Amino acid sequence: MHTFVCDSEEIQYKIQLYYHGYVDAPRTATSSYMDRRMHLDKLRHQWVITEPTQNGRLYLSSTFYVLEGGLFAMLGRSSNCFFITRNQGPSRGIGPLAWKTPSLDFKILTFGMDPTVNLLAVFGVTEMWVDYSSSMKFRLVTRTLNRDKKHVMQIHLLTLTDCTPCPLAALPVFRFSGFPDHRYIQDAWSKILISGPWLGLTWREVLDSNWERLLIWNWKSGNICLVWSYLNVLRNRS
Amino acid sequence: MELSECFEEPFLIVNVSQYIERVLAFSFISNEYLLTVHQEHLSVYNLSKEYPRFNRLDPSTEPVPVYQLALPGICHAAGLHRSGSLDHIPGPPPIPPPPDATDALPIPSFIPEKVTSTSFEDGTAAWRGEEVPFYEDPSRNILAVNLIRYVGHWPRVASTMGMTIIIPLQRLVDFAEETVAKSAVDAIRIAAKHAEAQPEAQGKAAAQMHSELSRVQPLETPHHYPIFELARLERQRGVELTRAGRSATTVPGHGSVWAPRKPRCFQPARWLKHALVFNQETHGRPYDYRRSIVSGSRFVSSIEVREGKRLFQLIEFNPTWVNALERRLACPARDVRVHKVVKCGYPMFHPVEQNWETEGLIVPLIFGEGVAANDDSDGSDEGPTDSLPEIHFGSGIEEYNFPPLPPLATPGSTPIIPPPPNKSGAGLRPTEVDSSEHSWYGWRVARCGEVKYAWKVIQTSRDIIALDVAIQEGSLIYTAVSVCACACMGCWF
Repeated sequence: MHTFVCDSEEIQYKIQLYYHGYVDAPRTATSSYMDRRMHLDKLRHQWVITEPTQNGRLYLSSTFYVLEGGLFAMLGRSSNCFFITRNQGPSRGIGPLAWKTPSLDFKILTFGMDPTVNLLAVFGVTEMWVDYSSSMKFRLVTRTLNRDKKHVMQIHLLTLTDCTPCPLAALPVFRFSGFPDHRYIQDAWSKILISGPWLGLTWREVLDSNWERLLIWNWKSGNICLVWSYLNVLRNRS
Repeated sequence: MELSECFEEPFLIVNVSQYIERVLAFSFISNEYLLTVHQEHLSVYNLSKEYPRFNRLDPSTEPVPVYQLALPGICHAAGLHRSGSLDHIPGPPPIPPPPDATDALPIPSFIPEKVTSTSFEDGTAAWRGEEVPFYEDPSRNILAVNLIRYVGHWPRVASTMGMTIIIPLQRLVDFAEETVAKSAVDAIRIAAKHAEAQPEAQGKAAAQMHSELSRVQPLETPHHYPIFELARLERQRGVELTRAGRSATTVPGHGSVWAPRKPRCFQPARWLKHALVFNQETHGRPYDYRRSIVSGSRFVSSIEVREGKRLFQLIEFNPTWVNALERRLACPARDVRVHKVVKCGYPMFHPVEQNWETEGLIVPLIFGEGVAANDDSDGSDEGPTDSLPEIHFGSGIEEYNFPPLPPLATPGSTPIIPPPPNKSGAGLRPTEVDSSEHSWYGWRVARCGEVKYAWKVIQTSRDIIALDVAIQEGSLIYTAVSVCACACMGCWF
């Protein structure tokens, strides 16, 4: 048994993976377990010697960006589109690539992405005619009586490749009641996290810095799991 | 889907109960659990459950987490930093390029040994590294929660205190699942009791329930009270005991006010033994809670404290200390190893405020030579560090004359480069960091000849680290964002 374990490259690789806290990633290029183990050793060694293995350049026009899964997505400063750059991965046969998505027609507050499912989640605001006559609910209407032009918050689930509606999403666009003005939203406090089917969004208003909101949403099924909001006591008392 | 259809079932986010605490930060532990950071506690939610919609008039509609951990003190800001990637489960191959994509990205070229000013003049950023064929396993790694809490009582806030809690993620999941198991035991018992009261329901169904009950072992942990019990207790007390563990009373003419905080119904001692909490007294300076990073099993935090003429900075942990925590009991700090002190440190921590026995593991990590922060710089080794013999300290204390403090630099803003240090950096290789240099609000500084570099970690993703980089050459300052990959953290130049 000892000889079998010691001589098996696969077992040794699995042991090393577990020992260092890694799991296998999908690969496009086949490589032997010995190669992968050598790569793992090299990675661990890199942490010690802290020497780069490759260098490159990315064009940077904005600091509004997200890094996820080897992709670098950056929101254009004025064009309201995304510039996406794929980091190369020679061990997986992935070459460098860069592309630009079509422009979006709403104000983008923040965005997140999950490259494994080609998902780009964009949180933004747009101005719409909204009918508030039915108490708590609101609906989009044409320009009629009982109208009110409001900023409606929305989450768009798009594809990373071309910003078309994500086919995996049950509801490509999710809208909810907006604020009087999108300028009340603090961009720096808006954040989107994606984990599997879950999408988490948090944001905060400028006028009430103690008012954070959290929305957990299953973007694949369209169901809302959790909504967390807060109203400051002082605001309530006033 | 048509736009109008989206509004058929509109979802209106309303202002919820005033009893609900703020959500300071959140992160997904896995695809099953959500972690939220509140002012007084951490909460773990099981995402497979269905939580009710909030009703601001009914505090009972507040979502009940599967586990909660009380935080020492009231925090008013937080940042979460977790290791690994969220897509750690092997998924499909990388996304294909769009139809009209062009290979616009030039073939990566090597950055010259000495980064010149023109390299960043056109607003380019550099990335380095190589994608690896394996991911970090978040379930075995750690999560760092940086918190800021007030010291003193509002509005007389003496200072703010930065606090970092390190949590092994697997332990977090374990405890959450234990809590779920406990609730399952309760449910089965109730069902069994109900079945016994109904003769027609006895027999096979009851036997099955008892069988299931026998398979699920109830927890026998005196310090571990599931949140379900807490919630039930609160419902019995009505609104007297709120979710925040405080009681709301009515004072004529003043409406509802918050009474002094009551102790929570559960003790986090057991849970906290698997976490590491250390405090950084900031002496009123802003503490950037978004600054610490977790990559791999490593935790790196750049924490600066100005103490008189001394500045203390940057610590880096070896991942083994997380496992070492599993072995701790009597003195957890003895199992903590400091892998590398990048910048020489200085003791800056006050004696722990919390009692280890009652509040959990509060480790007064002190870096630098053993001088207590509340000491008057007499160089003695007195203080809470005496029980931490295995922490490796840096090269000692350095004197530095501080100019007025600059404003807090934010990503995208032009960083402020500290003035030249006392020592000359001539002759340094670009990969070396002049130990005489200092950091500033998260900016680390190094020099290579006449060129000075400053950088600051601003984001991490899997094995990629983004840095704000500033380069000063003479009177010119260039800024850019650098993206480092391949876990070569520290290979900035």
